[in-house]
Amino acid sequence: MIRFEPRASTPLVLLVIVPVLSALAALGSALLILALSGAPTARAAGLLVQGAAGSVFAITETLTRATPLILTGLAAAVAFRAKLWNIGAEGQLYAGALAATAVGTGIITLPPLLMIPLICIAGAAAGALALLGPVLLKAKLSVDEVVTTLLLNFIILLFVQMMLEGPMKDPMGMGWPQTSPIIDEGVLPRLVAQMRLHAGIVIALAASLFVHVLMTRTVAGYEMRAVGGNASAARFAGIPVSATLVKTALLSGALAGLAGVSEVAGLKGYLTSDLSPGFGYSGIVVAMLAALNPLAVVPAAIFVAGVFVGADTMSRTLGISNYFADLVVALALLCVLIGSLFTRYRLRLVRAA
Amino acid sequence: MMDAFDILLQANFWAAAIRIATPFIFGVLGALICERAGVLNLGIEGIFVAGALSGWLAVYLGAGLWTGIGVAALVGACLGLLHGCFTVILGLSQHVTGIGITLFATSASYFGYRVAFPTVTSPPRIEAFKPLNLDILSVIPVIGPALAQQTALTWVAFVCVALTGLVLYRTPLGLAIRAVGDNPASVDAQGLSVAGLRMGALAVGSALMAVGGAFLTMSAFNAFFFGMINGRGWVCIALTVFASWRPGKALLGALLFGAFDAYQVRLQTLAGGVVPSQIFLMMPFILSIIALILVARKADYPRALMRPFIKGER
Amino acid sequence: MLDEPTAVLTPQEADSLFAALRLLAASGLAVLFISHKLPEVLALSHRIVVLRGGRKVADRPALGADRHSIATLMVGREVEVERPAPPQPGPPVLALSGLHAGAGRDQLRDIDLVVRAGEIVGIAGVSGNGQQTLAALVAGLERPTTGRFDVLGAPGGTTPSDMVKRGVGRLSEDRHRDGMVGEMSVAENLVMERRRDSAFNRAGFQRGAAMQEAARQAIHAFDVRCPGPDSTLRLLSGGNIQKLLLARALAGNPRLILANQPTRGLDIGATEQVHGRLRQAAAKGAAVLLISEDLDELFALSHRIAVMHAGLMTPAVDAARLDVSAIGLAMAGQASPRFAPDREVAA
Repeated sequence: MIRFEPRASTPLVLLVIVPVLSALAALGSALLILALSGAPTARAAGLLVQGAAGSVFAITETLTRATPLILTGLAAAVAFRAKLWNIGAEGQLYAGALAATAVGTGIITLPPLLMIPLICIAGAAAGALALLGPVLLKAKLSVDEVVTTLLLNFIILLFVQMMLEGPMKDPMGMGWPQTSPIIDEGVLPRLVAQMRLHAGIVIALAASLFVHVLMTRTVAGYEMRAVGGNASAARFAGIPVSATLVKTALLSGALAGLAGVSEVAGLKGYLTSDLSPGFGYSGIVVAMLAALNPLAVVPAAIFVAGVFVGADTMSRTLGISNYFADLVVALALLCVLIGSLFTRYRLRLVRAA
Repeated sequence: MMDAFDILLQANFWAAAIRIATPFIFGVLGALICERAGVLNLGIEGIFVAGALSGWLAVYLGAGLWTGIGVAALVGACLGLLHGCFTVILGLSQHVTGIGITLFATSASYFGYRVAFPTVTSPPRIEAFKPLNLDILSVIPVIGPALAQQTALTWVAFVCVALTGLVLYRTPLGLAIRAVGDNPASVDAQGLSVAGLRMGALAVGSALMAVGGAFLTMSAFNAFFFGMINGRGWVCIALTVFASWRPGKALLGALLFGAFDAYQVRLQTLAGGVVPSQIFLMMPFILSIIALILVARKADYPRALMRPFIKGER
Repeated sequence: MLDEPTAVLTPQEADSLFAALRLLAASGLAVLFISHKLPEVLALSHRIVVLRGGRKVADRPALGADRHSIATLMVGREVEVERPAPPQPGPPVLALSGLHAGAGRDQLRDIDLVVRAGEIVGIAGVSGNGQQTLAALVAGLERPTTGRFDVLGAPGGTTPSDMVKRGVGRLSEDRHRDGMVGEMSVAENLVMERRRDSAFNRAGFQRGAAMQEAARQAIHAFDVRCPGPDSTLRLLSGGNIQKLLLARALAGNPRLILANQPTRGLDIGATEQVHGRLRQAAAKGAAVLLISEDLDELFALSHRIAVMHAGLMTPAVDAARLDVSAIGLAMAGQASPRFAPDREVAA
């Protein structure tokens, strides 16, 4: 009989190996499914790796794709750490992108050193506000935040579409539902010549470090962790639970909003309604792969990004649908859930007496 | 303004309302069965997708319509059991598992569809369920013709409401299910299997969810589109709270929602371009949030909802 | 098989239960009675089995057994049984007068109570008669509806941090539910009430070294058995967790201590240590409000005892004047004349 015993502490080796094995298991399972569907699996796998990391272009593409994922991954990690189930990062991302566009397409012109921070602040604020509603509903009226954040995603996306077809439509865009481009002073500079990698990755990495320091070194982060660990006990000890949840929500929403800013001001240059192919939801997988650790979010995001970028290459060459990437990411979430059992528990084989 | 009220008197408004409501009836029934047993099944959105695809695909490949429904139900049940392996047996987070199941079921369905139809741009169609045209019902004003136009699946939904209510409130099994979501320790103490009851509830509930999805591709429409589920699963979760986890109120809630959605579609044509269409499309989601707010304070959640049961834990 | 069946019974009800059990046993039923309440075990059993550390250390007839020897077997060494020393009570620290609070079954109705510096006042009663509202009030989680609620001469605080700042040390009723954050370390749990104090907080950043040192001192002083300040709290035994939470409550030398079911679920060794600490604090001048369902504990610690029933409280009377049956009757709502004189006069 197999018995689960809680571990006193988890060796670092295990903490690193389990997510890696989960990721590989997900990849393997998906390739197995691919094989069952009759596709040339070995070649597909090769193209996947090549597309993700086989050239300078591939690597920069992967990093570019990882940029919003780091930010939405951080958003999910911060929230989940406090047991705040923010499934609305997708909507918060679009809110941030919308705010960035509203501010950054010519209504105000400042030199880049001021313009870029302005756009970032606008986007972060919009993302934070988007999550504030559900959190206040939770704190004051006990409304579960899972459903409200989820439904808000749809509402925000429809709102963005409304804006794109109406007040914010680019007058010179030939009728397409898209906004005017971000002005030059607001565009995040490219980092590598002729590649799409932009300064958004710097923002993302800085955010990761910021969240790490916040969580481990500050009183505010300590309060967030306490509330996530046992809100009743935190309340008893004098920690203001509602205020802490609001702070957590503002931070989480702001991070997701920044992801939107990064995509609009760094990658695309203008806003369309298909800006995000599910970054908000993939961010949840990134956060889980990283075991909610803000530093680990970076490699986790790079892995997920690599899968998506590699799948694009695979798709272009072999015609295999790039929903394959979504499948790998979904499987990764399920695998890492199982993997978390091994980090929390030790397996013991007990012989019946 | 008169037009706005006239809408309510037209039979085809109510026909649309009932038709729109049907997947929600299945979905809310499914969700409430799972939650009554103590499990929040956030895989519902993905299970809707999987049910929609698998039922439709079965028919496309030559099976009969009812066989297709059976396939969808089976796929749903399997996904529910998968959810249960994570949450009931291994005690992992119900929130994260649910999101994982949704992502998995959706991506697997989309990928599977593309594997089956790699190059197709306009979705292939099947012979869907036909309206039953039960003319005897036409004697009832307005509602009668509306009901007469419905397909067999809608009647199945009504029957499921009755059955669920019967089982939950009039049988020992139903009592056990309700008990296991409120106080699993008491069920365990009587020698019943908490895990067994929860897995069973998940299987049945998820099967219903999948049939809700299949309704869309096999009755309301006759093809599978990407993004066709469009948040219906999440709305069902909200409506479940609104329905206080009771099958009768679930039917009412779904019908109210269906009526509202049918109404906003017709309002759109009346308002004709003055109000952007997106405002109307937002309404169902906003309504769901409002419904949640109204009920949340006094919501009588099953007390053991989302708490994994570990035998022998004090 | 009965597992701690008298937790929610008055002494009279427990007696009825025992009578019923004796009848059943006489007609052939085998009864396994699990309890840590030695008087009950001695009163009811034919045979007594003592378990310690997972092993059976005694299996003997009840005839001739006494509390002292059983307690010794349970702990493995000699156990002290102290009677509380008569106090020289100082000024009132906690004063309740005409107090109403809470709602529903557990509400408080017209409560008068004074606890002075240096004394331990025990509150007896079956759970659900208002004790937890009283505890919530003193902990800062609840506010009075009407009436006076003074701590150290000024109106009581309205939040837990208020109360902590005023000098109230609090132990919660259920350490798992609202005492400990299991995922955090010993050190992190220890400083939770004082996390914003300048000792542990420099401009928003935590002083890790100071936290570690405070934890080391608490671990040593309170005999908290654990690998170190960084150990995850949920892995410690119940007794050690409670000792740590007591260390937290007593940090900063509080003037008023709320001890709510302080030894529930603890073994005799840990119970002794907790009792010793509470007596020590009282001897040094703190006022202790002890809420407990364990009459043994109440008699072992309290100078005065009051009983709660249906939101009402008897006057707190010298413990030496009371016995189990008087308290039992009061718990059931029939306070005897022994509770009548000396109505509390809040200074």
